[in-house]
Amino acid sequence: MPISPRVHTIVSRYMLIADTCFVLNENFEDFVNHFRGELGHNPLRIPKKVWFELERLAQGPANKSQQQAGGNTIAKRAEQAQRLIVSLDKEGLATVCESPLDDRVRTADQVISSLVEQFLTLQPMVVLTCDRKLKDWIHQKRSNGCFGQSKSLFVIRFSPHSGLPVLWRSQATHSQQPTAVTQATTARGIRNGSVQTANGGHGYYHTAKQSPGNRIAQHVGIANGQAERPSCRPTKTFPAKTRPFDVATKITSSSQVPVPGLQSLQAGESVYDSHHKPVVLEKQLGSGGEGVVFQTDRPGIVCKIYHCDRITPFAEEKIRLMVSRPIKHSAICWPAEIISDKSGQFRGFLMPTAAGQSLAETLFLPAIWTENQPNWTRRESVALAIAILDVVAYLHRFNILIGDINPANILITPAGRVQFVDCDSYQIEGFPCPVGSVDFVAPEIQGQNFGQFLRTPEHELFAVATLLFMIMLPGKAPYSHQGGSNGADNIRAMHFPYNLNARKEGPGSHQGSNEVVQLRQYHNVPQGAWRYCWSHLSPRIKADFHQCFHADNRHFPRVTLGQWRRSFQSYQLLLADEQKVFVGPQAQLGFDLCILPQNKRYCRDANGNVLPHRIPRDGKTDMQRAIAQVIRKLTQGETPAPATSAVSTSTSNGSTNSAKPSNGAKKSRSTAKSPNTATASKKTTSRAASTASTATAQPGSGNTVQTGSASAATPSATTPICDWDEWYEHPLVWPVVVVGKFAAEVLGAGLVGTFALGFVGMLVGFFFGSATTGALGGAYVGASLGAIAGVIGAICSVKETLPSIFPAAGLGLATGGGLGWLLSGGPLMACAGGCLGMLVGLAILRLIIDQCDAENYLKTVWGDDTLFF
Amino acid sequence: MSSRNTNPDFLAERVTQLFDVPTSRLAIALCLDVSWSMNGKPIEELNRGIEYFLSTLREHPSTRHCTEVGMFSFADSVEVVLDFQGLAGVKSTPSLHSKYEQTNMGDGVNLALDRLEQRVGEYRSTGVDFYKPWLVVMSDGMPTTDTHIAASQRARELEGGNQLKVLTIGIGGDADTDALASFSNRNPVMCLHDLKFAELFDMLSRSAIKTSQSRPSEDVKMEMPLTHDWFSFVPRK
Repeated sequence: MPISPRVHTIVSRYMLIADTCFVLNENFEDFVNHFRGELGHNPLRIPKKVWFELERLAQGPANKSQQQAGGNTIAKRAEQAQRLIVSLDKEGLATVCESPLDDRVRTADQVISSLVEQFLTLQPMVVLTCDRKLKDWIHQKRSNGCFGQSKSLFVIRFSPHSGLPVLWRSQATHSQQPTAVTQATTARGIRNGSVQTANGGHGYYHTAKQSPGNRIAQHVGIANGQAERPSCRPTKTFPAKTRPFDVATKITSSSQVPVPGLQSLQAGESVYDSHHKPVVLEKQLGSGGEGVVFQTDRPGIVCKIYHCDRITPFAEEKIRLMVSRPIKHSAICWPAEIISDKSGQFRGFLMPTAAGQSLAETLFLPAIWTENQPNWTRRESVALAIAILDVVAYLHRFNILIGDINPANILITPAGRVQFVDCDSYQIEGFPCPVGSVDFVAPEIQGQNFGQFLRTPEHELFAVATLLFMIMLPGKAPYSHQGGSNGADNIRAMHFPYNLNARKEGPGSHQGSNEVVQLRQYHNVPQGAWRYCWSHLSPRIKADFHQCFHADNRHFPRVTLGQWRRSFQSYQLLLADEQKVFVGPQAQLGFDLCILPQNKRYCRDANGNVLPHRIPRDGKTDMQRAIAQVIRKLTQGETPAPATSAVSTSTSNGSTNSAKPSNGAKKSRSTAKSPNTATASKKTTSRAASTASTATAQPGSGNTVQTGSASAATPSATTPICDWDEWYEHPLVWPVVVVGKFAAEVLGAGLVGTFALGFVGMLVGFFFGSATTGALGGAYVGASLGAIAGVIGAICSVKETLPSIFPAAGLGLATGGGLGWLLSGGPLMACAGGCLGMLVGLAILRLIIDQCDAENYLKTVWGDDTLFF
Repeated sequence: MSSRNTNPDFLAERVTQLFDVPTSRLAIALCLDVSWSMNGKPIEELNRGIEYFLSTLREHPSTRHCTEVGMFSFADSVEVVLDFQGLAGVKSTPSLHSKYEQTNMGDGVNLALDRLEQRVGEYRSTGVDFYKPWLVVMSDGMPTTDTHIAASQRARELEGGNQLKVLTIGIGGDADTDALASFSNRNPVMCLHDLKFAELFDMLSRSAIKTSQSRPSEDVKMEMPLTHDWFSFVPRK
């Protein structure tokens, strides 16, 4: 019986990954000899973990009873296999490929399954194995989620009857699957003995039932390879032959004026490719702002024809440059050829067809997605994220920036791959990407005209992070939060509501205060499933998102593609480990899977099943409690029928988050302490002014949260000295502040302040009698008052009056000292005393500024050129 | 009519919806004239159009969970025909009846805006994203009270603040296009000929579908009508 031609085709074209049991099979050598020609072009990939397992097997079993049971045969075969692999490696027919998971997982199967998940979306592959469990897993993968109609993942094994390599189909198609255990399946028992024995023999992929009596090589310890080890060549997935584009620093200066006198092209007309061969535009497939996409008479090729007003020398040059460097990647619809009309005028380009639905229509509408893809889990989301990261990294290797990363431009094909479309908008060299979608635009370039500058990789990393976030929390933008406004303002303010290490921030972790902790940590995370979705992410991924999105990390570089890739890969590994993954009750949105955290939030019931949450005393779930809370807030805590919705949100925000006022509330409160209301009582002032400011503001843009967040973007608000809002609550503090502000205001009036302080100094001098003490005392009192008023004034943002405090305080000192002296001594001494007093005052002021670390803050209030002494 | 819905069961139900399906929401307020002049064929056609509208939105996968329709009628008094809630909760399409003399357009719009604000407040406090809500005002006659001046001011302010999309539709030739035009600074009044409500609601549902397929931060234009014989735009003065 010959080997089927199908197997021939698959072996010659697909990426081959061999499992331990396949290599151990007695037919392996025949297989290699038969496919020598094919393997020359397409070497067999052997995971390093497989090599380790062979090494371990070659050591032979330590247990005597098992030795008798045939362990020696296994050891011998493992040694043979090792020798064969070494020789294959020398001939270039096989490579041992390393994986970052090698040191972290127990079995080769885990490495193989992670390789499958990793590369499935990128290239067709075949797994060579005789292990039924692994096969079942792969077939499940094939029929699962977005890999639904995947034609590109196969399993090849040796037929138990003929010993020839055959395709191993799933049970569904071949119910007559022979159940005989081939000799090679003896290797199924291979695992790290120490760990597995401790677990009672329940391994990652097999149980005792499925390998009866064959667990020969089970208990083997960790062995050091004695045999010659082949060199580990890393497998190269992307041949990078095309020369990368240059990195330009300014925009190409070609004319952006449309070519005049063009007629728009209709379906049925012919256009010409670069070899002047006609291409017929058959059917209009879609139309956008830039142009129209037509089906052509060439199979698998579509044609984009630009609108007449978009045809400029600039656009033509860009496409010509793109066509000159073919990017051949199955996931990228790169322009293939220039298209011109009869007169030779540039009109558009040809590109490969893209099939599939965009992310925006699929995963990002989770309510629909979970209906269509009930088997989609977080594992698939992670695999998708990795596939997308790989494509972006591939483009970056050529110095191509996508620019307008958005869910409408990334398709999931029916075969379960990703496909990047709309490539002609990518930024190459001096040609910027002229568009952008609000959610994906970095805060620093938010609202700018994208055609007027070149994006940097740092901008791109923000978009990538946003996309990854929206894959992991399907369709939820990172900056949308309770009480937030939509779009650009949220991003500019960088108010990222999700908390990194919320548990540590809470006042205590004992049971009684649990509610409080909950309130503080999620005070405006979107309600519903999103918060669980976030909290179930791995800490590493959370930290990466924080690095990209949190306002505190505004000045730090964003997470790089490589870092993302590693984080997601380690997450994938965590999710692959059945022991650590909890399958939650919320089987929607792909966040049913979560990693069991260390903080014992998850506990087990009597049968050892993992329970999602500690059962609360009142028997309500977190979700029920949150719903009740929202309803309570909405029905009771609100003023009836507010004039604009902005007011309603600001009041509701303020009332619920009394524990820690939100940014917006804080800001409105501090503006309330403006000088003109300083004499009034603090509490009424702030209340009145906040309502006043809301009421007078524009109804749309004058949302208090919005104004608060907008000003948070300026540096002055990002460096608060300390939490003054809490201080104000103290009954001893706020009267002082009010008086201080009053003093600052009076001082700000200039002359009045001068004389007021001078008068104090004079009185002190007068009453102390002695000339020296009088002058010093007067100066000291004046300086202290001036300094304290200055600092308090600065902190209270009494910007208008602040600059005059220094001269006022100084003059106050001088006149105070002087007058004090004049009344009791001579004019010379008065001058000396005044100067001395001034120096003392300045020193005290300096001391206070140092103590409060207020220099930067004062600079932001007064401007960078403020001189300090 | 109370300006806010205070039914605790109803509120609990619709807040729970936001928790269960936290997808972005598009609230559509239909503010409908049911004065005496609408009696007969007009109101029948309107009812049919609304039924078509709701069933289209319910059937399309992208609008099923996303759109929430509120219906408010105005005549002598104003009435909440349907408060904002997920379409899954709307078991039967409410039908409108006309029997009154007056056309209290201002109170109708005010009620719609109050209820809309209440619902938007719920979106905000649960952190559910939402598209710019729509206010669709339909009338076939003159407002008989002065309240529409204040209400139109309010609608224009919301529109100016980018918080509302206002569409005004005059039914037949007797509609007071000046009063309708005062509700929006951006969109002209659309005059409906021959009671072609089907075409109108077809256009609205296509726009809703298009909106629901965008991101909430995007600004989506209304779909244009497929045929042009059933309406005319009233030029702005």
